[in-house]
Amino acid sequence: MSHLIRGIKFRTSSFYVIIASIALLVAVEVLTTNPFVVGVFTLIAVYGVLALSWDVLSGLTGYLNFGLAFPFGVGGYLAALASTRVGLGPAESILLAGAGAIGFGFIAGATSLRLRGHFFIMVTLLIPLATADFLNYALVQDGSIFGVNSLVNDTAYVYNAAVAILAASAVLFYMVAYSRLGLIFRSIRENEVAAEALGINTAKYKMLAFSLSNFFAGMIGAVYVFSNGVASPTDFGLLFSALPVFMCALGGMGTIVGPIIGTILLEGSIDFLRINYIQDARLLIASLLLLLVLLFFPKGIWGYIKRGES
Amino acid sequence: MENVMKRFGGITALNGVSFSVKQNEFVGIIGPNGAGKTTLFSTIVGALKPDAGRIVFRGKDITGMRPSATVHLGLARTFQIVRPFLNLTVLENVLLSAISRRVSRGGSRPEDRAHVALKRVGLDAREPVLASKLTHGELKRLGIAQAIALEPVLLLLDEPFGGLSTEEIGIVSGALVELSRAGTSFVIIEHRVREMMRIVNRVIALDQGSVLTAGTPEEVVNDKRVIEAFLGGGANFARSKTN
Repeated sequence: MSHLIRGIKFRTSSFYVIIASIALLVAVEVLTTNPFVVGVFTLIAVYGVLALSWDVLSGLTGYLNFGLAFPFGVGGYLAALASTRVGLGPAESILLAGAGAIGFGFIAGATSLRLRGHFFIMVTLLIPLATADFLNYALVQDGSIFGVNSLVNDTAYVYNAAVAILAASAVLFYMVAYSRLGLIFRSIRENEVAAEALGINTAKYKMLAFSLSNFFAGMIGAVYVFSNGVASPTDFGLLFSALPVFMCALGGMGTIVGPIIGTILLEGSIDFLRINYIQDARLLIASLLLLLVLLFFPKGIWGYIKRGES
Repeated sequence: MENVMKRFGGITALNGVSFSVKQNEFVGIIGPNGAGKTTLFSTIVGALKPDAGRIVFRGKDITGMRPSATVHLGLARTFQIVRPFLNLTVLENVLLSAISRRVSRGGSRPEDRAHVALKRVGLDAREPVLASKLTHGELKRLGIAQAIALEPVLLLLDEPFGGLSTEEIGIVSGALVELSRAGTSFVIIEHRVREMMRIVNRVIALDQGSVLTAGTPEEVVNDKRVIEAFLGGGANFARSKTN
């Protein structure tokens, strides 16, 4: 597989934007201790990872995954269990969450990736919702795991963990997107049958993209649970599946940079305009903003900026 | 192929087809529309599973094997209706083939193989162009370049000359002859029979899923059964080879 990640150019505007975004997030912690500001940028980092995770699968391969909440929630629950039942520390729990999200995602992907188009969308949409229902009925305390409180008061650790995961995912996904592996992913999006005819084992590469997506979504789900002190069925909610899609569409799908731009704009505007006191308003604001942008920039903001390039 | 059968509901597309291709051979397949020619190719590469019979390639039973697996054994095909990746550049389209064929017969890099394949079909100047901007003839040549970059041992060409100008046919024929000298065998479906006759050693005639006859080009096109089936009687094809 190493022969597929070669010859990547880092002196590109896309990579500079990624580095600048990471630098911005690092600078926030250095420049301010305002808990509201740090909290907003923590959410930006969390949704940024989710948006990037969505883009590496759906933006590149064209398989529109509306179930990103599944690995996110699974990661959170695994981290909660590791922390409360096994006594693992936060770092180990976060890594375990990522690995576990790949495992559980493998089961989900083995069935759903055989489907295409709207069938794939429907199945991925249902998986996290069904999981939330299952947890509600199967576990006591309405399916929640309480007592995950090791990081609830340590906002600096949460922020650093979120930014580190964002930085790692952004750089790795950039390398994937702009490498031979990214070209293979894009060929699946363009014409999967033709890709098969050229000897590309599309099942293998789809599962690879799915696993990459799930790994980081799982880890950031763990960070989210640690920041709240509880894992609950709402972690499998539609918000965590839908908002990343909006962010990618806003910023530009399949670009890796687009998700970062879209997240900063969308999450930043929602939080800094203080609209988030109404939970459902997030999706409403996201929809309105997306509508406005797509009317003028159908390929998203970064897609519009790079429109002259192939 | 040994007694390969393929049915689609009540229609028998391939009815016990058997034939073989030797190394370095150039075999042509002719037949009227609906004879089963494209189905034959799809069955060989694994895009369709035969209902009966066997397909053996270089000593290995490949019956029903996935296309992505048969490619790695050295089989490649082009399509009658080209299937390019329209939002990728010409170079990227061919690079995908070269990447896929990871272990090159000559040990070269995928990028180099892609450049060589495009030069052979006369598309090297169009490398940075999006495939969506190509003409029909250029797209056909792109499909052939994709197949060439796979470095196939056996290449199945489905109407490679369709839609090409005389000049383009000359370029493509030259590329195929060059590949043939490098050891590649070919099976070619083509309605432009005159052009095909210039390059093939042997012809197989199909009709309604069955092999009518096989032999040299002159033998086949002058066979009464073939003439009755689709040449309309009285045809006389003079054959001359470019090499």
